[in-house]
Amino acid sequence: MARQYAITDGTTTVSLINTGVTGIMADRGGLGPTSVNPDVVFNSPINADGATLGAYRYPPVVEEYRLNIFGSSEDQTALQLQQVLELVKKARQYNNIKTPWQRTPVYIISQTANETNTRYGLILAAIDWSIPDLFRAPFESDNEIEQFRITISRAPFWRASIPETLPAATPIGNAAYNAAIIADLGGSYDDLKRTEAAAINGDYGGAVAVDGATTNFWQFDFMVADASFSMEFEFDPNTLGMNDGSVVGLFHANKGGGGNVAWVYLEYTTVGGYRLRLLAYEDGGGNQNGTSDITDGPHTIRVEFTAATGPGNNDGITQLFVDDVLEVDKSAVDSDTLTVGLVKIGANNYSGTVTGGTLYFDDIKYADSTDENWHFTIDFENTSIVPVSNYNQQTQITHVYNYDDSLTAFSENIVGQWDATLFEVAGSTPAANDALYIGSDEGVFFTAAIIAAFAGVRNAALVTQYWDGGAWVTITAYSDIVIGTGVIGFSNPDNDWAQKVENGVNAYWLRIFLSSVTSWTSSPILARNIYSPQGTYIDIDQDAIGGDESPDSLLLLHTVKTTPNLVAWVIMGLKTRGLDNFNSTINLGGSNPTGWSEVELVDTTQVASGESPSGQVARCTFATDQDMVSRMTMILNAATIADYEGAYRIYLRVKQTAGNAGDVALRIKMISGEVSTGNAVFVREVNEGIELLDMGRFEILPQKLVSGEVAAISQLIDIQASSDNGTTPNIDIYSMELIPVDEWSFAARTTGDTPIGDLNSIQIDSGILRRGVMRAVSESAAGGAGSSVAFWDGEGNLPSLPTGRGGRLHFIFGADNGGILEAPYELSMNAELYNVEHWLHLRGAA
Amino acid sequence: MIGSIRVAKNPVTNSGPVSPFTVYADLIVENSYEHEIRAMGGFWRSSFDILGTFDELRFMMLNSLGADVKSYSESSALAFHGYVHQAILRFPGGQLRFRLDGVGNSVWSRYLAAASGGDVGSVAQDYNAEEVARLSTELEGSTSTARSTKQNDLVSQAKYGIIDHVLSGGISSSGVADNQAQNYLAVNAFPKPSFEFADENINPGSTSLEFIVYGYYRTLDFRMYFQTASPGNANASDVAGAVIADVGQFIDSSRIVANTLQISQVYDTDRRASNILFDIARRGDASNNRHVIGVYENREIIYQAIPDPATSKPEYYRALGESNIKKDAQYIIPGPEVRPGKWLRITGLFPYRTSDYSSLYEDPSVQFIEAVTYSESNGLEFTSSPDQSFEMSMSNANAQSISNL
Repeated sequence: MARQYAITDGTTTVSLINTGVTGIMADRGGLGPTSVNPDVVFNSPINADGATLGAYRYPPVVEEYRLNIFGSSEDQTALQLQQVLELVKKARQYNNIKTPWQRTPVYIISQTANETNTRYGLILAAIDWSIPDLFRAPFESDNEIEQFRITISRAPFWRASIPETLPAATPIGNAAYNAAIIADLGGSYDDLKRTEAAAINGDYGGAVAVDGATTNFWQFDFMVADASFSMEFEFDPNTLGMNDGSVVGLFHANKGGGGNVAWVYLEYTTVGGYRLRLLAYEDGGGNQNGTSDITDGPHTIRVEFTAATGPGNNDGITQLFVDDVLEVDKSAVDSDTLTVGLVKIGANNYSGTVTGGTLYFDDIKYADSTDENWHFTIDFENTSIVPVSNYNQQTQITHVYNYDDSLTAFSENIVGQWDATLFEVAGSTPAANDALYIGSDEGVFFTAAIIAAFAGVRNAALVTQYWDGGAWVTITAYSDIVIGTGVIGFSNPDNDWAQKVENGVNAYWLRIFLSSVTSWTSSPILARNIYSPQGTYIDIDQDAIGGDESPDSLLLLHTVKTTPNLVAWVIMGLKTRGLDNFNSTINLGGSNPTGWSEVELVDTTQVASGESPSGQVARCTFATDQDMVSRMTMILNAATIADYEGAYRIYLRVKQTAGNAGDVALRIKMISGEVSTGNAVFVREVNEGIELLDMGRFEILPQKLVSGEVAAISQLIDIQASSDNGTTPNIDIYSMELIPVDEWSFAARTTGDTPIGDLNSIQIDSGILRRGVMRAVSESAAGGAGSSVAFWDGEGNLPSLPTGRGGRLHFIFGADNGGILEAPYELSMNAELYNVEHWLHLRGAA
Repeated sequence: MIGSIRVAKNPVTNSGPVSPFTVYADLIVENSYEHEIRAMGGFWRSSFDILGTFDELRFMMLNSLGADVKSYSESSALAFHGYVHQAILRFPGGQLRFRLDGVGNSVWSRYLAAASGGDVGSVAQDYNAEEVARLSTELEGSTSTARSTKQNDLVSQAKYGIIDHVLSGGISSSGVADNQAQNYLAVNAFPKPSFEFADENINPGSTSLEFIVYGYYRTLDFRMYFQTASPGNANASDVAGAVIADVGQFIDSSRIVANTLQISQVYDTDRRASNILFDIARRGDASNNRHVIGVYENREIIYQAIPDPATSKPEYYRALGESNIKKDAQYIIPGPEVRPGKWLRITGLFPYRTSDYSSLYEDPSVQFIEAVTYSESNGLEFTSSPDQSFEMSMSNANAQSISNL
């Protein structure tokens, strides 16, 4: 590794360790980090938007350099001196708002002889310098300036990237991001996890909790009578506790409505250890089977199936490959009536005594014939951009069809295909009245992400529509739909979204309808399957943020989407502990994660609602009591409460119908041994959208558990409500949001009339480009982080993420309705995180 | 700790900085931030210093008066909301002070009409109109003085809102009184910076700008309230609502709890709306429940009874020897988020209490928080009282005998 120590503005670079005959050789005596005159530190520009240079976050480092400058002539030596002085002048100008022409930072590049990575330090200014007598040796004799001393102030910490440039995005993810590509989750919502421990390839894998009784599995039900398929996954028994002769069903393919096609069992014998058994089913229900011993470690498992070609041919093939070796080959199977409609992977059933443990899976792949490429690979890994949802929902999109109006034909169900071509049916050229149907037979959904590898080329008008029971209703008219990283959003505000039978499937449908087509050159091709993003947070790996101190961070929240509502508020909070069970969004209509239950109290019942992620809301009618009394109790059980220990700002999503604004107030009452009651918060809207009420700051387990202590009490959260003025309006309570505020939290909102529209994003910067920037940026501008279109307001501390701690950043997205905060479920943003790590001294290989 | 402060244009008058800006904690002069919130008044006063170059801060100062200011805690909760009432630019050599005090853009004179042919007596004086008017009313009756024509500077009113100012015209004629008001208006319609040279008391080492921010309740100091069209008494809450509706230019919304206590709705002296509302609140209700009034988040004015001392438990707890406030004795509330108008129990003060008192009034370890001052240098400070029932009863006694305030 070449040594580097140079000053540069990216164009002119002056090495300070030049070993040539001419050049500069530093005789540096670093003074190390020292505090300096506050005038130097803080005499800083405050731009009109309040942004400052990241350098001013901490006291700068001041170092004195003693330079020996060698030249081939006095003039050449002078030139080198002038280059140094010119660069430090530019550095000073860059940091001064009155010299706005200097927009390029000047920085030090540093790397020792065997240090793997380079460090960068932003120069603030030259504080002082002195030069020896030039009318004597060695300058006049040897063209050398000996001991030119210059004192430079540089930004605190070495940075991992050049100042004012975006580094590579930090890998982020969320559990639902990967899980959501699967059509459904079977078993318990929380027993299928994405964990680092489960990683067989890469950093993450899928973990399936096994207790010998509860079935937990990923379910793929997008296949439509596939007569051939191939499915592969990485698998590790992970020393699962099994008694002699016990069995766990790992893989199960059936016809969808019942009828086995294939099973793979994990079996265990005391003598032989673990082995896999393939059961290849026949038309009559019997099976052929065989086994393959495996070790207690990771293996690549692949099942291939091709139905028999016809009655009596008995040439069906069902095979089990282990580590790419054909271990069980059943190629004379009577299976001409068998097709695949559903596959489960996980712990599907049990036999014998399975004492428990956790199975690891990774890289789940599927192709709907044995000779095709994989339609998807679920690798559980992080990525650079993660869609974040605004709800806690466990249902998914189950069907996606292309529709050709002239052919009156649908495509196969492409919901599980990562590589599907959109709008085409059997290679047809899309035309007016063709459509893309996106539906769920499990319930309403609020978003559909369409992430394309190729957006296609066309001149066409597209609209997004839903079925209201009588007609297709245009959600909003668009000249085109964003197919790329786009998300369609629909919150069903009139609560009239109705099921409809399309292609034989009774489901809630959204469709992207081609209302007119002028020309169609090429169709969009997906980069991953169409799904409904789930997860109100992003995961940050434990090792994702290194350095000696908190990094500069830049959070980009993209709204590449088409939805009637626009994001005008974002509320976020970081949590780095209790990640196993914590969920920031708790539905009051049920369908909640482990540990939560609901009890309806005075004048309150569960009411079906197509506007709610759980399909229900808690409705208080005030029919018998208008006083401030408990209407609902949310119970967090003792087994889970430890993961929720901490301070939260609690929000409620509510909607009032009838009555007057200001009639209804809600209040939180926390009961956990002691009682803590918040302030009454009034509902400000009537017959409008879903309002977000800030109920105040509360703590769960405020006394904190000591090390090793197990909580013995539950947390009860009473939601109280009153109606003044004698009115009895309905108040629908949708969900309770727990935004962590004891590690880092922040709120960003529009300063006026500039919510984030299509193709824009919010940029929250603690110092990568400019510290304190809160702005909306247009992504239509080429490259980089985009260009400003509006300033936003920041409330709280700028991003300050801890080093070396994994965590989750939880979000709520809001819309502005005349100054009132609403939180429509359809809002969704794609999150992207950048970090520039900070080192006090050496960076090394980090 | 304070996380960020947002300075933006005033939502009513549009005065304030050219572009809104947010100052984060590291650019606020260390330990300079403080705010005071009162049970009577709500957000009351906040101040903080920011650093920058002389040119930047001078420009900022000149565009600051009236600007809307919101400060947020580290956990992004609103800590204070108000408007810039004064800005002080400090720099080596002296300081510039720029403030709304003394500004009047709606000016009139109260005078005693001179008898025909009589002398015009005293010269115009700037005085506390409220005190004199009250005295005048009590001693001479409400109709003893006349008002000159109200002189307005509409440009100033558009920029800063309507700011009433009343002069004493002495014994005068209407024409002279009009001139007095016009003369005052001519020189006081707009704020002017005052300069103070450096001396041993004022000699800042570096350049900084201090913002002094008042809560929006104090915009009710700007206005005098008159109402003579409807005679007699009305519900206290209705009278309060009428005052706010008439002169609450900067009040965005109100939450006024019904109070059927009958009070006079006639106001015909030069009384500030803020004081009228304080007096209405001080009267409590027919059951002698104490009431408070103040402006809080989103410029909402709240008029309501305090938590019932007979049935409430203290919401805040502070242990003797500790500086933190715990909500419901359970968890610490960050300093910037502590509010007045609540009952505070000092735990450990009387540790051997054997039974509960029938009212928080009686409990010697409980105080009612009249005001909270949060400062980054000193943390939390409280002004508390065990009870203001005496003041309330005195106020009601006045209500029985004086019906024209």
